[in-house]
This record gives sequence, structure tokens and C-alpha cells, in this order.
Amino acid sequence: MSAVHALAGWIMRRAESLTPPDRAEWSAAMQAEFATLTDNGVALDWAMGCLGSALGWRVRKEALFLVLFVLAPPLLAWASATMSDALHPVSPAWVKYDRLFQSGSVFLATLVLALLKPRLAILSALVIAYVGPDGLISWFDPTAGGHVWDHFEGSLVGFITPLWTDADGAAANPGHLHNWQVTLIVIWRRFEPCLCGAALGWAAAWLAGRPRVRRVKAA
Amino acid sequence: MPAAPRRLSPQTLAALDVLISAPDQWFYGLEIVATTGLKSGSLYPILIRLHARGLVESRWLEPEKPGRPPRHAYRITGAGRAAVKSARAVAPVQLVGKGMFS
Repeated sequence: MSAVHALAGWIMRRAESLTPPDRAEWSAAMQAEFATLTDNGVALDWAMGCLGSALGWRVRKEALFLVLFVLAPPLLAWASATMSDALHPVSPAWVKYDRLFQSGSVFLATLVLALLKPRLAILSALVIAYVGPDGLISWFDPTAGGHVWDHFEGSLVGFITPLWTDADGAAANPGHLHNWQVTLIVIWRRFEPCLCGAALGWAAAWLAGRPRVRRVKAA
Repeated sequence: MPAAPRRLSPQTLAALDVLISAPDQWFYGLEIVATTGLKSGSLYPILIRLHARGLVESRWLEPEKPGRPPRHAYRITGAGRAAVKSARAVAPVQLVGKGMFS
């Protein structure tokens, strides 16, 4: 078997694994035709077409999840910014409520995504946690470090940089915490609501989808 | 009021043309591709739609060579023949209309 035919076979297997269950018969039909092909170029062309079809079926099947997955970070960022603007003039403790809202919103987002696609619950949670309501930029914004000492939130780079520039981070830290401790707290704060939402959504989806065993009363 | 029949795309009509050329014969996907020049990625979504609309029927046929999997074959139905006929009746008028105003 040539390398081109082997590649075509590999593509066909990927197409088969991508195909949703309700299209399995059609995937088998494409596989059966592929099995009769001997010309390498035709086989590769056929395999690419099958992969395109399978991808289209999969995207259509997962449309709701994909749309929510893509829209979640910007929607969360927008909701968080709107809430901050609303809370700031109202309450001096706005940061606390703002953080609560952020945690609650990412918790809900990851819960919904896990319910829709339990298999990708952890991945969704990690992506949402990473991108989060602050947006990806907050991880790389060294100027956000100033907020960090006050509120334990903001830039990871803002934390990590002093880890090697300041030998004794605790001395400069009003909270008397070492920089690595603060870094872990921030990471945990960021990931905790997402992972909790994902775990709860996954568990709910598992409970809803597990086969029910009926008990038959003995006569 | 019954729903208006959906328009058939040129690719769909090309696939149906192959099937209608021998209405009693079962065709494999590769045979349709060889005649129409359609790619597999276009043909199977078309066949799925035609099958769902009852214009095409399908069945699994035993392979000619041992050790190969059964093959899926397709044949046009009565509704499929009627759909092609009506599409062919409408198409020339549409083409004339497009030609006049373009």
C-alpha cells in the first residue's frame, strides 16, 4: 500500500469517527465505495470529500454548542464590564460583588456547555477559565499587577514577574503572602467556578442520560 | 395548501439525471460521481436529501468481490422521476427570464 493510499485510509477513519450516529449508515456507504478504489489520487480525493461531509454533519449537529462556546467569552466580558459599570458608583464594596458576578457567570456558562457536551466539559471549563470574562489580555497585561495585591486578581504575568525579580515577595506584599502563594490563589479563583460548573453540568448530563433499570416485582 | 416543491440545484439534477437514465437500475455512489463529476463531499449530502424527500431509494448490495464490504446503491423513485420532469419543465422558463434581464 502506498503512502498516499495509507493517508487516504487515515482520513477515512477520521471521517468515520467525526460522523454523528444518525449519519452512520451514510458514512458506511462512503467507506464501502472507498474500499473498491485502487487509484491513489482518486482515493485521496474521495477521502477528502468524505471528511468534508463528515465535518459538515458534525458542525451542524453541534451547532448550538459551537455557537455558545465561541460566543461565551465575549458575552461574559460584556456582561462583566456592564455589571462593573453599574456597581462601581453604587457600592464601595463593588469589587466583591463584581467578583461574585464574574464567578457566577462563568459557573453558569460552563454548566450549560457541560450539559450540552459532557465529553468536552473539562476542555470548555479550561478555555472559559483561561479566556474568562476579563479576556485573554488580562493574563498578559503587566500593568494589571497593581490591582493584584489589593484584590488577588488581574494579571498572571504581573504576579510571575516578581517571582524571580523579588527574592522575598512577602516583604513587599501587604497581605504578607509570598508571590507564588498569590499566584496559586489567582489561578484557583479563576479556574474554580469554571471547573465546578463543568463538574456539575457533566454530572447532571450523566444522571439524565444514564440507562434506567426497572425493577420488576416478583410475582 | 400543499407546500411548493423545493427547487433542485444543478448538482442535484445532475445526480438525478444519472439515476433516471436507467430507472430500474441500482447505481453506486462511485458510478454517479464518475458520470457527473461531483465530489464525494457533494454527492452524499445530495443523496441524503433526496432520500429524505423520497426521490431516491437505497439498499445494500452484496459485494462483487469476496472480502469487501456490502455497497450502498441508489435508484430513482416515481416521485423522483416526477420531480425531475417538473424541474426540467420549469428550468427553461427561468433561464429565459434570467437571460432577458441580465
